[in-house]
Amino acid sequence: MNETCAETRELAPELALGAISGPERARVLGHLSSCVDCRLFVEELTEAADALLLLSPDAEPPLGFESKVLKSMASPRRSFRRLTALLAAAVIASAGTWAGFQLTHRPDPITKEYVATLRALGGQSLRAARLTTGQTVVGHALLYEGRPSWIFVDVAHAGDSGILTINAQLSDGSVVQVGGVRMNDGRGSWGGTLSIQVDSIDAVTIVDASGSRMYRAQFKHAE
Amino acid sequence: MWSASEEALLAGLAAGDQDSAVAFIRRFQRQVFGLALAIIGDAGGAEDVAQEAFLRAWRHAQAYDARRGSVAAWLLAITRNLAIDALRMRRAEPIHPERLMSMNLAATDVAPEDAAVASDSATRVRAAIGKLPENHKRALVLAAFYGRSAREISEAESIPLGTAKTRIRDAMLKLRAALVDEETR
Repeated sequence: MNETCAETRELAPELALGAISGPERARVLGHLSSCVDCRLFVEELTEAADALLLLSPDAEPPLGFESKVLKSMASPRRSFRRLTALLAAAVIASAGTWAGFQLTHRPDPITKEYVATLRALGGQSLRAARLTTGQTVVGHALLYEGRPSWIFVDVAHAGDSGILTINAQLSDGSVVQVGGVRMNDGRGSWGGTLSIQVDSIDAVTIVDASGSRMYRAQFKHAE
Repeated sequence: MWSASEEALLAGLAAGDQDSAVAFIRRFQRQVFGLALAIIGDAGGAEDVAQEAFLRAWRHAQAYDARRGSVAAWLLAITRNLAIDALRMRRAEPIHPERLMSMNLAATDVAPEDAAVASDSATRVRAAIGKLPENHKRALVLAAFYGRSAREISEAESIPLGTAKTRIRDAMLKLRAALVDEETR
């Protein structure tokens, strides 16, 4: 066992419980990809964490719960997606290659509108970047920093199908899977909450089932 | 349909099969709603979380990996994360881990010799929790059910960061030992 193994085992209980900060999580996951012993150790702790959740007491949901869930499944476009899609459209309409909105930016009318939006949401920042193949723009990615933080991705590229993986590339070089977008007839969008710190994300990448990178949205540029 | 495996129900749910969806919801709704209620504390909020958990499972069924645990564990982890997000949206409300600690998580009446021969994971984990010191139990509940990091626990409990980390680590290692013992017996 080396020094990295010792640090990993120190952090492993918090990782298994899902209660670890983004940079530490990225560091531990990076080590696990190359250390079988530590991976087994984390798997055993994860099994313990799963067993703990299974101990929670059962409770009867309110009458009509089942039909409400089934009805929601019949109309998947829910408020979260509508909200993020509207914000996406608004940010994209006014932004360049990438844009960041902080509460202290200049008070032109558009920025005022976003400051009001952020204040209403209680968040710190909302950023957008174009998803490209390198040359061609195929969609956009948005990162919102708040409680909770979230990501929204919209992709349009003819011929794409199936589920594409959405990864966040962090400042320390590690890569964390954050979600997946289902492509139908070359279009797809997905939004979800983030458990990693938004300001640690350098880029968002979309990869296919083989792990090959297809699209990239750059949020931070080399200084 | 009712005797179908968890994995088969999830596959049917992902494929849009109505019967599978009904069976999946009926199989897990008490567990999902129970966990959400234990974390959130009110039925309305818990219902929203439970509903969203089933929708996430439906949308992301392809992400489920049987090698990483059971469907129930996967679904409850989704529920827990959503409940934590919902709680964080209500940032002014304090957390009451006692609510969870009082809900039969720990078996205080399991004799050591009974715990040693218990065949199911739940009994052994309950017995292991029952033997933890109260402050270790609190740290475990705050981390496992409320997603609190060691730093947040140290601030909430007014204890050094190292102490919070030690409590979480010791508690988890004891739970792991209880399960590993079970597998090697």
